[in-house]
Amino acid sequence: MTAPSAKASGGLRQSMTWLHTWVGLWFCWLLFAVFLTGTLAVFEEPITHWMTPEHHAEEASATTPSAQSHLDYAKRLTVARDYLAANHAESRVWSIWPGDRISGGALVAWARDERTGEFGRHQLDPASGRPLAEDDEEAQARETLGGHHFVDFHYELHAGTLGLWTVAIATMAMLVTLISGVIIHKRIFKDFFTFRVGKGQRSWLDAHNAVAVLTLPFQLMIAYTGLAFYPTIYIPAANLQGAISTGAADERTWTGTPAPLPDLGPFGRRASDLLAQPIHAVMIQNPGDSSMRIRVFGSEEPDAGQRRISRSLGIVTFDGANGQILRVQRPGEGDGPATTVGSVMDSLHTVDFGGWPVKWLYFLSGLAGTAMMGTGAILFMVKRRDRHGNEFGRATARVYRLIEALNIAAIAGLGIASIAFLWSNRLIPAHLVGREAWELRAFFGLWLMAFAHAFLRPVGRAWIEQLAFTAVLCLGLPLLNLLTTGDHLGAQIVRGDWESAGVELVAIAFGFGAAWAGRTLHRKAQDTPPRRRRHRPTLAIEGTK
Amino acid sequence: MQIVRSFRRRPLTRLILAVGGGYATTSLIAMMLAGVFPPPASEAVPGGALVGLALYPVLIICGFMVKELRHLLGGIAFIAILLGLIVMGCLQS
Repeated sequence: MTAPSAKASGGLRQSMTWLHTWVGLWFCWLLFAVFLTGTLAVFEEPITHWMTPEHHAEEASATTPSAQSHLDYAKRLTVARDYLAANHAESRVWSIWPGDRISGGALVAWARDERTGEFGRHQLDPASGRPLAEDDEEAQARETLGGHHFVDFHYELHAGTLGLWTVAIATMAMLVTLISGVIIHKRIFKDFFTFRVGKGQRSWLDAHNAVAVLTLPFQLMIAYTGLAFYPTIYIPAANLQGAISTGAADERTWTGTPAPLPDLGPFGRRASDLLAQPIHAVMIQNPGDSSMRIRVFGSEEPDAGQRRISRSLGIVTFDGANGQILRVQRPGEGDGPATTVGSVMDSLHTVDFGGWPVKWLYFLSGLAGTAMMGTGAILFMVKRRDRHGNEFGRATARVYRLIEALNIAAIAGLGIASIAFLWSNRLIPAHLVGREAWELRAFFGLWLMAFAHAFLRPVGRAWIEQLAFTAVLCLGLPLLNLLTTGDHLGAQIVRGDWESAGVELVAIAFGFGAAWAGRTLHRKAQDTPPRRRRHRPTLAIEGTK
Repeated sequence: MQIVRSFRRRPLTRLILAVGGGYATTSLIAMMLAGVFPPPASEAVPGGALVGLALYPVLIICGFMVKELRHLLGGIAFIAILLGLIVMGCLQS
């Protein structure tokens, strides 16, 4: 990158252009992947629903009126308390989930292992308190990451802390690129209404500008709120002022003086009355000790997210030894402004408000943002096909070829990998041990193969072939579902299973989009004179020349 | 002066200095804000970090806006002194 040195010492717009171009280029492939998977993650639950066909009937019955029986919370809390006292008396923290108030569901108890500090999950029979075999509920369900794969990938790339930091750095680069992009635009709003079809580089630039301006506020918001999930991890210096322990005020040191375990039912009833909410969970700290604390968490109404962005559960904290109320945090009350702001940021990022219309708005905005990154990546190469930038000296041609391959693999290849992830869910045997890992291997394996294909095949052919393959996989998904489970789009719509139908309809829409793009490229390649193609083997995606 | 000339000519040097200097300044600002905010610390620390995260990309952009390295270094020093005075003033009051 020797050429931009002169530009960098020029005016503001030149230095911002350099920053926008190069930071954008080196991060666009990763950001494209993060944005596309993040966009798909908006529909995490429908994807998970589609990927666990064994649960379809069970979930449908859970919403029928007959299942909406009132739970006997007091009995369930007593059953769980007795189980934990008999089996986990040494644990300093117990948690009890009495069950979902809509469907009833299982009674679940958690106890922290004092040696490892980890929580163990115990599912109990609400009537007898007998622990259910771990596989009782899920024996018929296949192991799958479901839509959570896209959630995990988009913020940590399935790579733990390293992935978390990598995505954070890319997100910060995105913020820098967005701001510098605004600065370099002389006529940002005029450009938004300008789209010149069939003008090669100019068309790509117009498309890039249009989707960028259209979704600029959304992208600034989604990038910043993504970083705001773990602010003190990214800026640990803020924490140097003192060690922080959230909720430390409520924790008490173990005294060693025994105290009888109280009946949890009255605590639940009092908390429920105070909060005007049903019980979501009960946490007991230092059970059986005079320092015992009982925290009862309220449960929000199903449509609470329609009414407010900042949500927090109501919590009532009791002194377990004498039943005295120590603290009442009503629903919607935060601990303070920073906590409230953090809660709003979380809700804004995870679309935890507004219901399906807002989810669709996020999905479409996310697709537009993804398109902005894709068009930006393509634009870089389209610009340089006619006018070699010679930015990398003698290696320029090889670096350009690598960039072309990365463009194909990141854009078309990721599409293949994502839809192949859904295919793998149906093709991998349902009861194969470790099938979650095999689904992931299918995703990353196909993506790697797409990169190899993009590097080995001529650029134009690689684009067409990968887009065609994406189209085949997307359009074939409903057929695959029919062949492997017997379920089909018509049946899903008739029984009102819009989550499954939505996944398949969106796959079909993507399939038509990929087919259209591949066909357009194929036609353009056919129209290009053979001699010209031989001299310029990297044409293809430009298409309009 | 060699550093200054290098900074003007080489965009990668500029990038590294903007990213590194920006992060150092961001950390400083976040730390000072966390110290200045009234207790509890469970509010002040994430509050300072959130402000820091918003400032960081702006600082990187600023690193590319200035023409001379000394202007950038002067800006960082000015911010550090200013924030230091604010913190001292708050502590004394």
